[in-house]
Amino acid sequence: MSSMSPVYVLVMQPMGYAPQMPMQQAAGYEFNEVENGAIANTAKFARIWGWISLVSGVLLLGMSLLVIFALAAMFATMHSSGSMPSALSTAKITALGLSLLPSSVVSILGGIFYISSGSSLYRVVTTQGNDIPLLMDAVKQLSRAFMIEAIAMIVSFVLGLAIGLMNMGGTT
Amino acid sequence: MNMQPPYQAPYPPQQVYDYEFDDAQNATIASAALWARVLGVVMIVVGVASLLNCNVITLIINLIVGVNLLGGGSSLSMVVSTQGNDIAHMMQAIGKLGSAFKTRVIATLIGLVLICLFFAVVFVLAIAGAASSR
Repeated sequence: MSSMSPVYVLVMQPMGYAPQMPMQQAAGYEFNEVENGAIANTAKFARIWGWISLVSGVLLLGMSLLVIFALAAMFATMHSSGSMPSALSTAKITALGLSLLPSSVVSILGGIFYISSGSSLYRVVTTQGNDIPLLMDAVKQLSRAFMIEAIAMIVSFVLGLAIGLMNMGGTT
Repeated sequence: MNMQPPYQAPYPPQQVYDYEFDDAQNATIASAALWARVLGVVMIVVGVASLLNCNVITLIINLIVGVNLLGGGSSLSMVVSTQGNDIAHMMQAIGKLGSAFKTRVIATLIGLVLICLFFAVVFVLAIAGAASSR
């Protein structure tokens, strides 16, 4: 009987240990309940923030187009009839409208990427067998949203600083 | 006939089931880590600059969001630079990024409510003023 024991060990060892890790790597990773809870929470807020960004971007775009076309046309008519102060020229109103366009485009694009990222994260929670590819898709969308937002913030910050310094130089 | 020892795992179960991201996945994660940290730094800088307008609320919100984005970015870069604990670092990153989104959403909703309250008060005062002038 004692001579059979090593045979058992030799037979059972590969089944007990060896296949587990390669199989897990090949099949990917399945997030557990606790991890799914944290991912679902982030997905929820990423999607809400995406919708806020998207809606505010669309509103800003509408306002921008209204300023560019409707107000500029109205003020052009008033200007030609001489009933408008010369400080509010059509070119200035159009420039004001155009300055709103980049912000609206950034908000819309950022919103789309945040919503997409949140949806991928949500699918990580709701589906099985494809968690890692879905997570990577979410990370890719988040990366794009962060990049767009960071570049837009840097550009607007530098422009704002330059305009502020120019105004200070003009007043002194 | 002691069959138990071969079935006992010599290491904790979490070590066995941990996942290691491959090179292509690490590149995607590294990109997200970079931009999360850049955005975090920019938000903190913009928040500090808003003090020039005495805007303390923007400073507080940007600081909270910026610090969370920096933390999330650091955890994501830990996923790339370390081995054996990728999922734990990824979960940390997701948690911190979730906190950043949560802060932004709550701040925006509070701002919207305050704007609505402001307009409601102005509307009520205008009606009261119009009624008293008659």
